[in-house]
Amino acid sequence: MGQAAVHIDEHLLIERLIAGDPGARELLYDYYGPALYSLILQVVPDNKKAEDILTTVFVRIYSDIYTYRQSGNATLFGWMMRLTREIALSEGSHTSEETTKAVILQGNNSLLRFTNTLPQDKQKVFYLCYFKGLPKEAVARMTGVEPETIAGLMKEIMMAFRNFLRN
Amino acid sequence: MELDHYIQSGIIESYVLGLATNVEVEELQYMRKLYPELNSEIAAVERRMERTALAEAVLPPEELKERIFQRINWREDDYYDTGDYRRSSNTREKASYNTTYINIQPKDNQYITVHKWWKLFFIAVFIISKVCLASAIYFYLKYEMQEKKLEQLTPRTEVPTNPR
Repeated sequence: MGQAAVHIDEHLLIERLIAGDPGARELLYDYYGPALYSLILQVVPDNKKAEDILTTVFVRIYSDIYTYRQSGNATLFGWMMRLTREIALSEGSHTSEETTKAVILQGNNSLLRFTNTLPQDKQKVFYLCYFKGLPKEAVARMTGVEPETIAGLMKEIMMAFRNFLRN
Repeated sequence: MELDHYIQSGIIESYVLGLATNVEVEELQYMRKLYPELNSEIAAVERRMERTALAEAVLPPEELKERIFQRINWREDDYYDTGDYRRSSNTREKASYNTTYINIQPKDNQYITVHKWWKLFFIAVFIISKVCLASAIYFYLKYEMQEKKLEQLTPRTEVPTNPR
């Protein structure tokens, strides 16, 4: 996608979205829809389900946009990204329970590339936390280690991710 | 420096990815008040994520857009109809949702709106009328046949009586 081709005035866009402007809504979908769709596919690798989730995501974005400013988010995309993952996890992942056992990494997006750079133990922890949305305590139970160990591993993973993102 | 150490711990990335626990998020919000420069740091990480996500975007099917917008229109109609807006009526922004909905009707009141059950009723009436018509034709033909039979019968019975 032409990432720098269209510069969107975020402040103005949010104003228009709050006002319920159909043009602004369409612009938001055209610009961010594909990016959010790829984020959904990372968590729910099923096109049909991902489409339904994207629908839910945009319905939520348009109806909850007025909460965006109050919630103290830094950028619109950050807010949409977290909302998308949250909805994708709650709507789509419970149907693929079996995949929690085996770490399946396919596709070629940066998060998966990052996961592949991690050593085996961290790979599993990050996979379960991010792609499966499990809390650290649950991951600790599953892997049979102390929650503090998981928290420590996650911290190292996030530091690694910080470096990964900067490069 | 404490702030540097805090940023280096990857807490921002954890928050941006949605992996931070409630306690960590609260701590981050507290730190943001203490050090407003954290905001630009968070925004920078989110922008980086945005750039990668836009670069790795996957185009959803064309018809999905229509489906989404249809659903939104439908939902908003519903929202006003059911009085569900009480949910958010305490927020100031609600006021900007105050759009006037105009029911577009053809001019001159030439059209009426009826309950959908009338459709079934009319279909039933139509079928019954066809059945009646068919049976009317059937019985007419039967009657005609009967009539002919009778005509054939009557002369024969009359023949022996006539010469007498």
